[in-house]
Amino acid sequence: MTTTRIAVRAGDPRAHVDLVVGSLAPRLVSRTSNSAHVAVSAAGMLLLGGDVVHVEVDVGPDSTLELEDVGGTVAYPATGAASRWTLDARVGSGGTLLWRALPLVVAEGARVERRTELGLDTGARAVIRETIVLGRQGESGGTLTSQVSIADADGPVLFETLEVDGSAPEPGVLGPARVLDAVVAVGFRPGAEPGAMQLDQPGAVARHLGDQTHESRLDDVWARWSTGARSLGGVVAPAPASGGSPPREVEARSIE
Amino acid sequence: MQPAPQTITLLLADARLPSGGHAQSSGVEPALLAGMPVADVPAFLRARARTTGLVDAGTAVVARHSALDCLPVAPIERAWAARTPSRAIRDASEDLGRGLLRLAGRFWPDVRSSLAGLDHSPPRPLVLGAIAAHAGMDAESLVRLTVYDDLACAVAALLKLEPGDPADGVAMVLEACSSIEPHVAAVSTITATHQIPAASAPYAEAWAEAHAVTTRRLFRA
Repeated sequence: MTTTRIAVRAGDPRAHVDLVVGSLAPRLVSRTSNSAHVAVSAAGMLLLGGDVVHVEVDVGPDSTLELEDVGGTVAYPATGAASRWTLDARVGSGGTLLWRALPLVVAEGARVERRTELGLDTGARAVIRETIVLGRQGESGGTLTSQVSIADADGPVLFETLEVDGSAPEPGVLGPARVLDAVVAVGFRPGAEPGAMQLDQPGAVARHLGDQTHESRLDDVWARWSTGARSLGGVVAPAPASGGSPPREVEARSIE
Repeated sequence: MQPAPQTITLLLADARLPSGGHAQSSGVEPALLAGMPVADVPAFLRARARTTGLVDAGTAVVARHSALDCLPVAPIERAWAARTPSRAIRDASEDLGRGLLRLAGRFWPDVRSSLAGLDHSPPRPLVLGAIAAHAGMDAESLVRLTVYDDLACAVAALLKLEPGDPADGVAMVLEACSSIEPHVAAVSTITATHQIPAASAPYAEAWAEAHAVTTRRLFRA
C-alpha cells in the first residue's frame, strides 16, 4: 500500500501544495495564495480484491483545497480479500475542503470496506460529495461497508456506517435503490434544501436514493453548498496568468 | 422495599406506561406513507432493530455505565446525535425521553441528576440508561428492552394503520428481537462512546424527514 497524499498550506505568493502519488495520482489544476484545485485519477487498475487504497488529505489553516475526481471507481468481483479504501482528512483552523467524488460502483461479487475520517479544527468546514452505486448495469451489486466519521475539536459531528449487500436489500436501508448519492456539509449551516437533514452540530446531509445517478438533483445542492463554504473560506481570486509560470505537474514531490 | 429490577424492566416495556409511546410508530407510519409495501414491514423491523435499534441500545448502555460512574452525559448525547442525522428522528426520541423522564423523576430522583448538563431534553436511550443504572437493571436487559420497546411501538401503530391479525404483529416483534440476539452480548459490554454502533438506514431517515412535514399523519414519527 502506498499512501496518496494531498496537502495545501496558504503561502505567499502561492499556496504550498504537496502531492504524493499512491494508488491515486493527484494533479494540480490551479492555485492562489490560499487555495489549490487538485484533480485526482487512479494511478493504475482499481479496485481489485485485496487492494488497499489510502488517501491522506491535509488542509492548512485558512487554506482551501478543492478536490475533483477525474473518473469514477469500479470495485471488481473479489475472490479473496475485500478491497479497502481509507481516507484520512484533516482541515486546519479556518480551512475549507471541497471534495467532489465521482461514483464508486460496487460490482456484483465485490467486497468493499470504505472508511472516511475527517477532522475539523476550530472554524474549519468541508463539503463532500459521495456516490455509491450497487452493481454495474443489470447487476444487483456486491457488499459494502462504508464508515463515515466526522469530528470537530469538541467531538463527533456525523458518525454512520452503511452496511449493504446488493443481494439482500433491506427496506429502510437502501431497499430497492441502487444509487445512494450524498452531499455532506459540515462545520457550517448550509442553505436549506428540500429534504436535507439538519445535523445536531453545524452541518447538513442531502441524499438522493434511486436507480440511476443521472436522476439525482444533487449537482445543484453541491454547487450551492460548496459556493457557501468557499465564500466563508475567503478564497482569493486567481491572479492573471500573464508572466507567471504555469503550475508544474509533478509526481511524489512537493510544489514549492 | 425497592421493586425488583426485573419488575422495572417489565414496567418500562409495557405499552400502557404513561410515557408517550402511544404517539410513536417507530418509523412505520413514515415508511407506509412513503409507499413501502405492508408486506415489507417484517423486514423493515429487522433492519430497524439492526440500525436505529442498536444505535439506541448502545447509547443506553454507555449512559447506564456513565450514570453508575457519575460521568458527564453530554458526550454521550453528542455521540448519539452524530449517529442520528435526521432531526425528525432526534425530535421523536427527545419527545419519548421527556415523557420517560417525567415519570422516572418521580421514582428515581437521581435519574435527573445523572442527566444534568444537557441544554435540551435527553433522548430516549439516555433516559433508559439512567433509569437502568438507578433501578439496578443489568446491561443485557437494557439492550433488549431498548430494542423491544421500539419494535412494540411499531407494531402497535401498524395495527392502527393497517389493521390485521394482532398475532402477526407479535410474531414480527419476536422475529426482529431475535435477529439482534447475536449482538446483545457485545453491545451490552461497551463503555465508551466511540464503541456505540452506528449502522445507518438512509431510506428510513428520508421517510422520517418527509413525515415530519406532512399533515396526513396519526403518529409523531
